[in-house]
Amino acid sequence: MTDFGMIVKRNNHWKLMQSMAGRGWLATLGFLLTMESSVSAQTAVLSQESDYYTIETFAAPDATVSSRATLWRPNRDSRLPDPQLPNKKLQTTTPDATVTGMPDDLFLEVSGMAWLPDSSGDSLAVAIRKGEVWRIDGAVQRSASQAVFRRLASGLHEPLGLVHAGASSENQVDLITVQRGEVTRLVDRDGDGLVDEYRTLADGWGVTGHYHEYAYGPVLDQQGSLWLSLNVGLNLKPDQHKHTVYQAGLDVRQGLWRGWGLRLMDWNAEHVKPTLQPVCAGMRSPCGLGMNLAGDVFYTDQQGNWVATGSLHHMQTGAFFHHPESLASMDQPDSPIRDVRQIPAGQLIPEAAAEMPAMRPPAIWFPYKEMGQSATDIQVDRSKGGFGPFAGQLFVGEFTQASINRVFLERVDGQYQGACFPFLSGFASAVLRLAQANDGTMMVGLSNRGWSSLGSASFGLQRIKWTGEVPFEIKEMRAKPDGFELTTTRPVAAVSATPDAFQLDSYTYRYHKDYGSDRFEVKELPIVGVKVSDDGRRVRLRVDGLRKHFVHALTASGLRDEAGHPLLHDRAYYTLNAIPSGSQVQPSTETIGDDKTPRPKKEVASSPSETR
Amino acid sequence: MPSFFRCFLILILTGVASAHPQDQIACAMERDVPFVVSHERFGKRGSIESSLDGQLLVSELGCFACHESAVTSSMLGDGPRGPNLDDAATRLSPEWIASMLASPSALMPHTRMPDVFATVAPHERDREIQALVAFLMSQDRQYPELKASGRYVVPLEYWKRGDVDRGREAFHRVGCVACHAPDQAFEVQRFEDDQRLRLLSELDPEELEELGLADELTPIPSIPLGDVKQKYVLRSLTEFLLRPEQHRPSTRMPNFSLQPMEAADLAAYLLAREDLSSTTVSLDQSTSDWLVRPADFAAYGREVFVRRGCASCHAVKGLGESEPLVASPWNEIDLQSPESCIQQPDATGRWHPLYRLSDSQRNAINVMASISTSTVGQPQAAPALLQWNCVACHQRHGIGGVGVNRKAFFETVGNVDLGDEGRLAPSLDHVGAKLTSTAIKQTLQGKSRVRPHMTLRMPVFSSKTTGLLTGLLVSADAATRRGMEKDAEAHGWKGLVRTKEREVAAAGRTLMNVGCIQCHMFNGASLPGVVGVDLASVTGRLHPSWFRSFLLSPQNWKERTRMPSFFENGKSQKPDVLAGDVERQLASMWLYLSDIEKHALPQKIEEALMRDTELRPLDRPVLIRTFMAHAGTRAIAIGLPGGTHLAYDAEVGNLATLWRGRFLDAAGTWYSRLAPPAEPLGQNVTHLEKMSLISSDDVVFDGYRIAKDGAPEFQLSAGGWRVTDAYRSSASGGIERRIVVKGPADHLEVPGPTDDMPVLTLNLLPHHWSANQNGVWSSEVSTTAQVGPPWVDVCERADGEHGPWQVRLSLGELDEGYATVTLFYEISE
Repeated sequence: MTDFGMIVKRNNHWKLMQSMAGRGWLATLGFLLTMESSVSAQTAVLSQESDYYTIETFAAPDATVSSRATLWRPNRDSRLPDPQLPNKKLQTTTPDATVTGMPDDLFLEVSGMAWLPDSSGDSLAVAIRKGEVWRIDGAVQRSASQAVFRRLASGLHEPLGLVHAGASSENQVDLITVQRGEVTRLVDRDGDGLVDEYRTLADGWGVTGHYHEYAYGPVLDQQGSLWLSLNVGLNLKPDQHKHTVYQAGLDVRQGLWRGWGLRLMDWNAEHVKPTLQPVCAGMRSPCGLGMNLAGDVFYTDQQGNWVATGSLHHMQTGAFFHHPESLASMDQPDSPIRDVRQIPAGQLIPEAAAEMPAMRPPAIWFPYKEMGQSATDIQVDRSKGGFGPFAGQLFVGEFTQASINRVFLERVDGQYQGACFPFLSGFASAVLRLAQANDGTMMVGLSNRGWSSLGSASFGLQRIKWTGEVPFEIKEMRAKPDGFELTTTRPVAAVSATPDAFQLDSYTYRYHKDYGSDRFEVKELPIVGVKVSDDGRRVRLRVDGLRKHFVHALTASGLRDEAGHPLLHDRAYYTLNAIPSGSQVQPSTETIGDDKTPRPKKEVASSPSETR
Repeated sequence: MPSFFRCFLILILTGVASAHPQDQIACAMERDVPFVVSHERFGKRGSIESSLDGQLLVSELGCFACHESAVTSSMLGDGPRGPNLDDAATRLSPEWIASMLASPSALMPHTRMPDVFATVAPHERDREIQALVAFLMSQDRQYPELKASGRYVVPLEYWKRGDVDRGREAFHRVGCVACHAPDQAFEVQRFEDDQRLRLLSELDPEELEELGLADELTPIPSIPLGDVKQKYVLRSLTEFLLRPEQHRPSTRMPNFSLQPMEAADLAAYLLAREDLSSTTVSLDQSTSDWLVRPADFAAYGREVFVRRGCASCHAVKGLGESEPLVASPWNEIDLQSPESCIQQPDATGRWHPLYRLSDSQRNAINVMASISTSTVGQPQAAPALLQWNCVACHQRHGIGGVGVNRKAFFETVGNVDLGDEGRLAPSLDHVGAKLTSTAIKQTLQGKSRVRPHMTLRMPVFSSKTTGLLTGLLVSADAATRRGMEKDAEAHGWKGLVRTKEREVAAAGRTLMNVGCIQCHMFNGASLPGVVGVDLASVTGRLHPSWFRSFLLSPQNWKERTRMPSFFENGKSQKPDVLAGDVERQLASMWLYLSDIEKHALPQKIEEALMRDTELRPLDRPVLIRTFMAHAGTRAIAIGLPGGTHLAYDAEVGNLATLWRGRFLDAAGTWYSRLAPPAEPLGQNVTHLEKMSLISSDDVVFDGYRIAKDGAPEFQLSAGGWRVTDAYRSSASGGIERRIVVKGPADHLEVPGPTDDMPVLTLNLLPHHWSANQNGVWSSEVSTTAQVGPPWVDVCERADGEHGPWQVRLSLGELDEGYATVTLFYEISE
């Protein structure tokens, strides 16, 4: 079997045995004897993330000042020669030149990435936080010293996203970004490859001047609309009030559309004025936007006041998520949310959601610590296998822990919900932006300035390449009327799939204006039955006492593949906003299909004893 | 000379070669002799009094845990007890506990844990050990949950994510190797470059001894780490490193305020380090069988735990009102008797735990015991520093400091050469006269990190230890401090530092340029490449009298400091500042530093800071979008090569501010989290009224284009009219603003009466113009307007004498629908 062959190859024992072969049979024999006894301890070490996904560094110089320093300044890579020489200082000398090798004064605090139409498929436009857009030819395949750089645009106000607007010509730049105060189309009118028009497509939202009022996006959806999201300001001062709106009923004040997700339509039509349409409210720090393969647009939020922990939300018209100060704009003519008279402050999420019809709990909670501390960008895997076994799933950046998580979504009762899983850690700084290349490579834009993160750098660009090996992972976790169904990337060993192999905790959060929330009503739920499908790729868990609007945190430490290896990541966190209705069944042995429509299932009796 | 050098080399080589912990100690002591660092480093060599040596041994071996004594008061509280065992089952294996009990020093060489069963018959011993294991396996406690925050990163199962290489780097840099043996394979830049050491190496040992420098050049012994791999797993070691005091309330191992991932890195490294695992001892693997004993076996173990004195040193759960071990009071002990814990017992003797001391340890304890308790006296600073091993890093009065064989590991972040001052812990000489007691406390509690440029970290101590140490240091240096204060008072210092005159602090700012800025930081800012103590912190930490005395003569107070005297022979190097009055100059520096937030940074630092962020429109316009006080939150600042610059307000849709000279510092916009408004750097900053260029309710800002020459062309539209508003430097160094108006295309084709044609009115700012036939002027800005085609009415005033000057353009009167308005702005110098 290829699976088995792969495992042996990955197995460090194998390499050790090869090297020992040269040292004599006695040593080999001794080793084999010890291997037998230590196999359970060894397996955890044998499989690590880097066996499956390698992180390559394009540029990520070691930081020399704290990312929170008041006088933060970017530092060049100290490993490069001649730090004193004013060599490739492009921006002050020849700002528009095309150069091979990264200019010394380009500091890749990546805040947006977009692929440019180029036959090589390796031409990346990168927005950086200080307000520039660069073209990098060779970001996927070459090193920073071999890649070709050109500054396309400058003078922007903290652009936090970038998309290509769709011009087909290879050399003609046509990008769209969101700056603090507007949506801007960056156009190359004369065809020299540089932006010479900064066309304002939309503006008018409140900008009080508070630093926290970031504006993110855009995402271009399948209908051609652009999506953006606006941070709320914090503790605004009186002189900032002139840029705000006030809602007296709820006594909330924010800049217009602050805390909202908006959609910009008709931006590409000749004689039509673009329309900026507010879609949904209640955002706090919506640092990442992204679209799944079905074309639905999502955003991530970050823990803080009113936001219990990091979260992922489907941006639907009229939805309210958490931050009530966004409702300062509720009475504006275009608002799709009306008549919210009270905020259910201080209640647990299930109660708050019941009390406030507009409230739409997140599709995913990212439990604090276990699943990161600040969710960022969303990138769907559209590689159809070029990036491993997770085609169509969402990858979500994580700022503080410098890592990436993975998300599986399904629709239950018409709404998205699902599970998140750890994916890959060890990036050089905060993961702020993700962009997948045609060959599946995931470009990872880094910047932690102003906050803190793991990693040795303060900014940079890295890329993830799949090694071609399939990790043993829980690929999907689906809610069932009486439990969950796991899909794994490799067949599981049926003998390992006992109730003891799993632990399922459930908890919810408090909806309040405090910063973040502890877990409440923490309870371990008994797993009363486990059944593995005939092909070994689906594991059905029967659980007593599923709770609506609770996170269901699964640890599958006992699950093994057919070669006896544990999961690469044995955690999964399912946000159970709705429990699917239907008959309570054990899994049948039919092949896995699209689970969006319920399939007929046979009734199978089950008991714990049956599964042991 | 060559022979001296050789001597030095040998010295160093032994230091390096003996880095292996087992080797190093093995050559000096048997593995069952307990390791007390003050004795091994100082007592054994006679560098401290034998009585003090003895006191420290008795304290650190925990003798008073069983033996009552009045002598306790001469030391800082209790001696260290053993680790808490209320979580033994969580973090220790039964095999390890059994092996440790059976032969402590076999498993943990040089442990301070006595051999409890040395005199117990083997059969009884085994039974009791089994019982103790059963009892300890009932001592279970969850590891505490770590609370994460934006600054405290707690990844899932962080203890599994440590990185051996990162851990190795940290182990050798942050301070671990001040006490523990470095990894021999770890490469550091040795101290060949150290001038002083090279000179000292030319002296022979006798000379060194005579000069009192032998201690400094003797390689320091390493506190044994023991067999880390047998005792710990990743989790237990990570948790211990994160909070040593949780597991060992009185441990001398301090808390380094590690981030969870740093602790995980260190744990991964220590468990991977090969020289830390013993190959000679194997754990008693049969132990797990014992655990199937009946439950009452644990109760028996609990009884043994009390009877054998374990409870005197180790905290466990469920002991309640335990009977303490009956042991003779300290002053009734006959140390020579075979019944004493430090003597080899004879077979018939009463049971006691056995400490297998070396002869020198025994001697020191005998000397200490021979001194009557009354003469031992109150706690002193010096013993306390030895007791807590502060001397591992700091020296005070010639005792301590990082060992000669360890210095090379500590560096300045970024390897800037600042001498030892920039990489080693500061001397504690006069520290009580230097730092306020609050500052000492904050330093000990980790709340004051003033040397972030060092890889070495100051650990954090408990509030109890902090209080004790602070009190001792303050009183020990009280006399020095009083002397300094008297001196300062005699020179009128009190009045001088209270002055409110701004010029005095401004003079202090000027004086910073004399030399301070070459080595120090100011509120996080410094000249390029300069790292050093941030002077913005000193007035909050130092006694003003120390500041004065130290600046007058740094060498007097700090040996071998690189800090030069700027007041050689009591004379200032800057006679032009404050009339050269030394005392006033000193006070002015204090005043400036204590209020640095209100004053500008030293000028040269300000300039250096801006070098990479000041925008200079040398040959092309420079554009930056930012926040500005007047131009608003949608400001677009334009720097023009001619030297007159402007800010455009995209929210309003008009020119907002004009200024001359330097353009703008982009630092705040580019790199500051707080996104402060950008301020014009130049002069004659002129703000215009907030009013859109187009007098209409539906003006839309459409962005801007960049012309070939780099000039910005702002685009506005209103009701089908399109206006392009371009800015360039004029020939005279002012601004030429060219407004091109294009009428609505659909009206051009339709002939009709002129009155019905659309009209566009432009607001020409500023308001305060006076007009004559050549143009218009304002008081601040000289403005000329040329409007074409010439038949257009120029410069009507909208609202009598108060409204803006306006140009009214009727489409019917325009040539092909176009009109051009050119304005020239000049700001007088």
